[in-house]
Amino acid sequence: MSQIDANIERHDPLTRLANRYGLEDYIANEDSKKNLLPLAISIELCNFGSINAHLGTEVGDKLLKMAAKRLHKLLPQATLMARLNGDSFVATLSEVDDLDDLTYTLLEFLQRPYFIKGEVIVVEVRLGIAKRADDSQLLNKMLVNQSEIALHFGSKRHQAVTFYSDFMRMKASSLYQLEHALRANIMFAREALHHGDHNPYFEVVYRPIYHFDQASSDRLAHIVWHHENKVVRTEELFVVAERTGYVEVLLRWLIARVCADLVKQDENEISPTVFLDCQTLPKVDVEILLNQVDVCMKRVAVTADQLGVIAGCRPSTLLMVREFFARLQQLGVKTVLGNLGTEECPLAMFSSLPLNGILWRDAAYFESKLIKALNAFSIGADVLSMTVKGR
Amino acid sequence: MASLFSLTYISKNMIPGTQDDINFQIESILAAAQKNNPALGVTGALLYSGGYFCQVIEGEDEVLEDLFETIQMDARHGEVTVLQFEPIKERSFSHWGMALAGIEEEMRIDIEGVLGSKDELKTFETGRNMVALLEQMVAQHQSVFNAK
Repeated sequence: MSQIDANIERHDPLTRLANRYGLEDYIANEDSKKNLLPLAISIELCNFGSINAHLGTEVGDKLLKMAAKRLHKLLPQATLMARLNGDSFVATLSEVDDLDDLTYTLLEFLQRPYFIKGEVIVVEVRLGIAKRADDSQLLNKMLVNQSEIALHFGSKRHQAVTFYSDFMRMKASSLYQLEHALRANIMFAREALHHGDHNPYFEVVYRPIYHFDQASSDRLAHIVWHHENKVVRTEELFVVAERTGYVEVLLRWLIARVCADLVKQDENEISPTVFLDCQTLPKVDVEILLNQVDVCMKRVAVTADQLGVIAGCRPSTLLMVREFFARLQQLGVKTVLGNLGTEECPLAMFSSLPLNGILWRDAAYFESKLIKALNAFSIGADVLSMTVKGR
Repeated sequence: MASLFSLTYISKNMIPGTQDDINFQIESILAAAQKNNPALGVTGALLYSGGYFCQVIEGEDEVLEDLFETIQMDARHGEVTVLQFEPIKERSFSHWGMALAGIEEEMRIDIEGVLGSKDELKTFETGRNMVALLEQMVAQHQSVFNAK
């Protein structure tokens, strides 16, 4: 170990568990001794971000400490436990008697309510599990990596427990290829994207969007990606764009393209509002996007009432989205929340956002949560839908 | 200054075996609580009713936090539902490290109805009513004990 390495802390100061450096050191050591561990479990506290955002870091820190203590008690056979980042842990185990019983026990006890600073906190836990096959010579490092892949795979599908399979690695590999392709396409189209011009890779598609009580419709503008003779939908495109840091580039282009398209409409035609589908916003520079809206509107003489923005919010981006929406409303642009009541955007965040509307994604969701939210907060917000009411 | 809190919860019994086995474990729970709670400044009461535990614990918030963690990690019960937690001005069970309100084979309250309810206000009121009920039962239990 070099002098520099020796100085790097290998323990998480909050929980006193190993950190990623500590985990990597341990695994490397076990691999060098050919000591193959039978099981790795990745653990995620799913709604930790929301808890931290709403109740404060003091509560969040206490929660992590308590969760770590519970893990210690629940996994006496763990050879190492590590906290990797905000809300995720890894444990490597030396033996496994009954894996079903182990997963049940972990979920049962980790999800029992926590009582912190007078608040009862319920945490949702997900597990990603990688079990070594009997004759496998897989490195421990790969076993841990498999448990992380399983956790990530399960998170996307809202599964509490996910066991690793080789299919997951193929899927992860496919995402990696998309990231690579997006980088290439954005590089080739960078001039067109910068100027808001048409290009062979990205296209703005318009579809109707309906106002729930007004029986009227406007238009939703979203970006699709033409990649290898198939069309990558907006949702998947933005997942890849977020991973590669290109969300801002795409949104700037969307704003410019929509404004350019708006100005081409027949003068005699009543122009509906076009809502820009910004998906769930990661951390972006809102000043850049607001400036783009302002500049493009002025350049093509589009009025603010012709534009709306639909964006999703997360606890980690609440302040950013709140500012973004407030400034858009100051410009006269309508703001619509795109992911209310989902795991990313719990109902508690609803009342703090300046909204003109909420996007209704499916009937069951609307009936179970949205009406309750609107009644609870007495907000006369418009409701938009992807389908006509009753269809 | 640390605040005084009251926390009430119900949970489902997970102790296997006969009623005698359950009684034995309850005595063990009480003995541990009566030994440890005074030093922690914790008071409270415990009721076992028809397969469910109902417990009230009173003390400073940080102490209750740690104690609740210990309670949560006890495999003798599960499906813990917190009914009520609130700051209090005075204790309801000031004389008791952990009082036994009773061991009953038949369920005394509509616990299933409470567990199934999504009405937080109803749950909170149930918690408060539970504290009052346990106070009453502890007093009765004590008067029976004294009478002997």
